[in-house]
Amino acid sequence: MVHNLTEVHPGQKAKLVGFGDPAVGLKLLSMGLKPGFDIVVRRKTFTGDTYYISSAGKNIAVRKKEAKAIEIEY
Amino acid sequence: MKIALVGNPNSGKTTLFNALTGSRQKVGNFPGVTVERISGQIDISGQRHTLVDLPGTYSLHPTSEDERIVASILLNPEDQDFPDLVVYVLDYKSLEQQLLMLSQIIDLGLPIVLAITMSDEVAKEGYKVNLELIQKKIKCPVILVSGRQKMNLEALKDLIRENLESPKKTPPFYRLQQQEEFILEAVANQHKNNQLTTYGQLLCIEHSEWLPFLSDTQKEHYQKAIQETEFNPIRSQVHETMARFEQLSPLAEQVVKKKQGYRSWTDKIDNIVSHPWVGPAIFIVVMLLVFQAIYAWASYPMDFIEFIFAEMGSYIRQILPAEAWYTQLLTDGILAGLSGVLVFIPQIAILFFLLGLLEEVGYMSRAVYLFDRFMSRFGLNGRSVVAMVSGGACAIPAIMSTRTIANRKERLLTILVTPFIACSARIPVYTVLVGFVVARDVHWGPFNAQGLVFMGLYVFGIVAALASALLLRPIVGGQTSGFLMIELPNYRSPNWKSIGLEVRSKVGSFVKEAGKIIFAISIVLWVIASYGPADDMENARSLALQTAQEQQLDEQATANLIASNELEASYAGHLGKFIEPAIQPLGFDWKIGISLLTSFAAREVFVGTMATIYSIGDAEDEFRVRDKMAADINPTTGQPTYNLATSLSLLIFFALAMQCMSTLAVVKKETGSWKWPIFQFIFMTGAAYILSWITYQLFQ
Repeated sequence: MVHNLTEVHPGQKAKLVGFGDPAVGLKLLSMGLKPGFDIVVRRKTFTGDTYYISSAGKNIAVRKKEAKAIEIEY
Repeated sequence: MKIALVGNPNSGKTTLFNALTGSRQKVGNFPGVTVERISGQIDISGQRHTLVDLPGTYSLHPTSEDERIVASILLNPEDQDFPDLVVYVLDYKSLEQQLLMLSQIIDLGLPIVLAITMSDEVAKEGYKVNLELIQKKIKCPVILVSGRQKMNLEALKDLIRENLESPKKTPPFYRLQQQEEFILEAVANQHKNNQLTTYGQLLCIEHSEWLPFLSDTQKEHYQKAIQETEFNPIRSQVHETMARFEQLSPLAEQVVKKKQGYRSWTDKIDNIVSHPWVGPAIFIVVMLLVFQAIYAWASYPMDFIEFIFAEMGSYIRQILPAEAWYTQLLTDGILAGLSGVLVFIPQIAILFFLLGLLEEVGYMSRAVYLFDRFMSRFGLNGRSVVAMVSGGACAIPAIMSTRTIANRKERLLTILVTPFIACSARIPVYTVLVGFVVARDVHWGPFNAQGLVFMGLYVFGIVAALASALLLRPIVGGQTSGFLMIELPNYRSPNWKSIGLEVRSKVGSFVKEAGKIIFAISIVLWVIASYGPADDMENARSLALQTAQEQQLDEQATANLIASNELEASYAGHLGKFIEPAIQPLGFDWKIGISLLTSFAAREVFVGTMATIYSIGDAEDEFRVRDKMAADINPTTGQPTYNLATSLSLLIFFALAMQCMSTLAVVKKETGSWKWPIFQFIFMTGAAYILSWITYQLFQ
């Protein structure tokens, strides 16, 4: 069972292991999100559809659809 | 020689470009700001070179259209911008991620100079950079520079000169996988480009779908090879990126030593500013403050500008013969047109200053984060928030700001609906007309009724924009929903100088671009409103004189009556009469018709034209215009022209219709063809016509 970033609570630590959607993965990789690093959802918007995530000293906003493509271990 | 500046968004690339070329251009915390290709000249020991500022990109595997430019240029030696040397700009923060594209460009075999920027902040934020180590490991020339502090710029130029004269070969980084070797072999015999390295050729295959310089046969050939070897380009790109990071991560860790805890400020601020519901509330308050500031601060310089033009006008009338046609053209045509443009400079400057400030400190990307979901329900992007906010002042800069939206459909929709947002040019019109809808001293509960109607018009504009986005969504083609994935940079103190440059360049382009059109239109308007068929004009004049004598009017009133009658007889008057049948169902007469026609140049012209029509010399005196309009009687019904139905209908028309030549010109520039501005004109004006008609029929 592969977990993704939508399954963790804000603040809960997880480890980034890969990307479900290569196109999303490619973009996030190049923005500095790398497998093997800790990743944390810092907060979500009111509707829970946009995620504020941090990894390797980077803050990035992603849509829920994109968060679903971020595969993690926790 | 050609030199290209390449780097990630927010790498300080644009600041460095400005420092090297002295050109005026935008720097921001907002990723993807440099979408246009911008070039400048630099002189290095007597030789002139062209420096091109390429869009900020994270990788040579681009995901959005603006990012594709970099790969399209660097993979095509025939391209006019193909560089003889790349200056790779690197911000010491998040070094590892930025080394990614550096390693890709090294593998293209291009001569490289590495410029590490923002060095003035290195010590302050607790970073230590080991330059020697980078130089040793990557084996390309490295220099610390600061565009802001103008540090080491000469040394950078020397390094560029050295490397142009004797380019050094940097050893390649990435070793191809088997899969990648296979596909290169499969295409090796045909269409091999000997000017490219093997990695360059691999990129051409992987991106063959969209690379603009490939011929159709080349594309077909590559696609066939991809199918035959069962090559998966995206998987391969992901693999390549990971493999590069495996090499780069240890290096980055050795090179940059971070002090812990510097990020905590950003996080503390975001606990409030990006809070699920406090955040949006703060955003709304910030926006209210911005617009408050625009109205509060701009009124004095605006009055001053108008005063200057009035003085110039009367001075010209003194030194030139007052009755001569060229004097009138100069004062009523050109000067009036110029002041119509220039009077908006303070508002635009203040708006750009405040928005630039919000962007510089890093706030705008938070608004994008907070409102992305809301906007995407309408087929827009979180980044559309920035455009719609700017649209409250003027649609022109707002439409220019959509360049940061990567998805074509989301961007186009934003461009199409932003002009519905009530801009500053609608204010004079609303001010005059609201008075006919509710009287001044009416209160609804604790609120002033006029104030509420005013606010309602703003809300109406926002609703119209969002509803139109929903409506146009199926019509506008393209990929349905784009990516968000936007960097939320750390908050930082603003760079006042770059905000200043930004304000200057935006005001400059407003005056030039919008100015040209308004200038031309105002001359045309003056001509058709001042001249008419000779007989008609003569009749109008003598009729006015006769009436004046009968009613024993004084000199001023006589002059006013003549002006009014002559306007009716002028070409503009004929035009108004001509279109009257078309606008009668909306409750408008020919006088409103003329004003509507003139207001298609720019909305604020409406009040000025109304003032001329009701023969008042001074358009700025809104209450007097309103008094005259209130006294106007419709000859067919015997009722006041500006009853509730007509006034509401006119308000709705102004809220919705596309009455701004300058906006249309900008939309043409941004979308690249006349197709969309024409569509936008028909859609907005059509919506205005239909809804005004419904309003008039309901309230009649």
